[in-house]
Amino acid sequence: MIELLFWILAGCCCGIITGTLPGLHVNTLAFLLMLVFADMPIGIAAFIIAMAVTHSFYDFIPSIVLGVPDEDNYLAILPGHRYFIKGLAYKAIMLTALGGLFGTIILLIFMPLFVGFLLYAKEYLPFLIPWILIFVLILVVLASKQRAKTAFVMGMSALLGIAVLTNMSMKNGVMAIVLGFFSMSILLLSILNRVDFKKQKLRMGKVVTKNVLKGSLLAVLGSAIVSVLPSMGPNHAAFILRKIFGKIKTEAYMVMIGGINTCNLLFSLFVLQMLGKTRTGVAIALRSFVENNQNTFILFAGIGLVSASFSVISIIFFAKVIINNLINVSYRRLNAVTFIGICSFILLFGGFLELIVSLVACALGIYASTSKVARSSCMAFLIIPTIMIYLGL
Amino acid sequence: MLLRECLLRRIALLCAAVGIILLFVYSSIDSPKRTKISEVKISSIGDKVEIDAIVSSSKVSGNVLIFELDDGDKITSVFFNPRIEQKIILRKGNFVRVSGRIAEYRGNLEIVAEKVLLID
Repeated sequence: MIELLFWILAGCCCGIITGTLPGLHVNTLAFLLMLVFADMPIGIAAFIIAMAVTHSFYDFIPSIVLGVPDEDNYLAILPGHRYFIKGLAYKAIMLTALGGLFGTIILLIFMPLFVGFLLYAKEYLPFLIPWILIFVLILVVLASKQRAKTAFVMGMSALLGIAVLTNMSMKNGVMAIVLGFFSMSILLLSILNRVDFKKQKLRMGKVVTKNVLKGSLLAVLGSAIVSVLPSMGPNHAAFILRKIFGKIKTEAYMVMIGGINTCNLLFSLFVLQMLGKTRTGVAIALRSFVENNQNTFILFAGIGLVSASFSVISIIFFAKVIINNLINVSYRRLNAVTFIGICSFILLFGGFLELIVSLVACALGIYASTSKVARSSCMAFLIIPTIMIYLGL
Repeated sequence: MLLRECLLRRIALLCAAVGIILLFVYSSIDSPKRTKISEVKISSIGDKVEIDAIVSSSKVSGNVLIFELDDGDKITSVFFNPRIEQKIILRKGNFVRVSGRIAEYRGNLEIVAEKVLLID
């Protein structure tokens, strides 16, 4: 028992590092551990889960503070960045942490119900989803004040997405597009517009409980969709939920985005146990452990709660330390360094073609932003190819 | 109702306590069951057991130590990535206590050992 807690604590500490440093992904470490420990002892399994849960809390820090997302949370960067500019970065980070914690609690309480529903609905959902996505895209265009420009941005994003996804020689094309749309464009605009941030408030301030509960419930719902449907990621789910449920307050939206990642991870473990399907890298790494052990539901619930609690309590301290150190830095210079860093990262881990793709996405993102088109319309780069896959096109 | 940081810390601590209780429950139900080789059946697959027996044969193949336990009945066992001390404990003729899980490999039941202890 003490040994198990030690492994969980070690995993949490590792998750803080992987989450805070952009570019370091927990799946990579999970696969490495899977290769080294083929029999997957319980300690290593606990380490991986704790690391992944903590990572899901901390990876919003680079998104919100530096404007550098990963592939699971780039929709958080838009409202998160707004909070940052207003001097409320700490509040934004805490909202995502609230989503992670309350999402975990709600997920564990309603887990049997969700799994029962999924067993019933899993055959029908793949038929419904493409039509829901088409409906949502049409709704986005019709609801926009710049319909022609929105449709143009969606069309161009979709073409870019299709070009990248059908080009087998591109190793990290999707990552390049994501960074282009949701990071480089924001950074470049901040540099050109000489955006500076207000002095950061290091208090959470008032958070309405109703928004937290709403966001957490939506997070659990979103993660349930993601856990069953192939080709659906957390950002797809957030996009659909936002459009279907109409106006969601920014507070509730940040909570939802924060909760989806954590809940998706935990949900994938329970789906692995119940249905034998893997939907995340961590679930793949733990497949042999689940096959050889019983009562893992109780173990996963325990690790999830302990890790989520540790993450919330530690993030209250670490977020303040990171933001405090940012105050001494010239934001414009920081943005410039981050922009160059991202370009170098893409060139190093992708290639020249990936850099071109990200610059094209960046240009499109800037056009969307300056034309008052919602940047989330750029999500069409993944939504439309997903529709095509579901419809067999 | 408003959520404040102090309340959030309390909720987090409460969740941590619940989590630790769940882990304790898991540790209790997942404790190895003292058993004899004759009681190991197909329905035991996945169970955690603890067996006292003599090592009747032992060989190392790559990073796996394959050994046979004998307490009147015999069962094959495996130990992945054994360290030097575990190889010494699992030498032929030693009386050992093996904790591990029952698994099936190529139609035969075996124990995937997690802990080994030299009794005599």
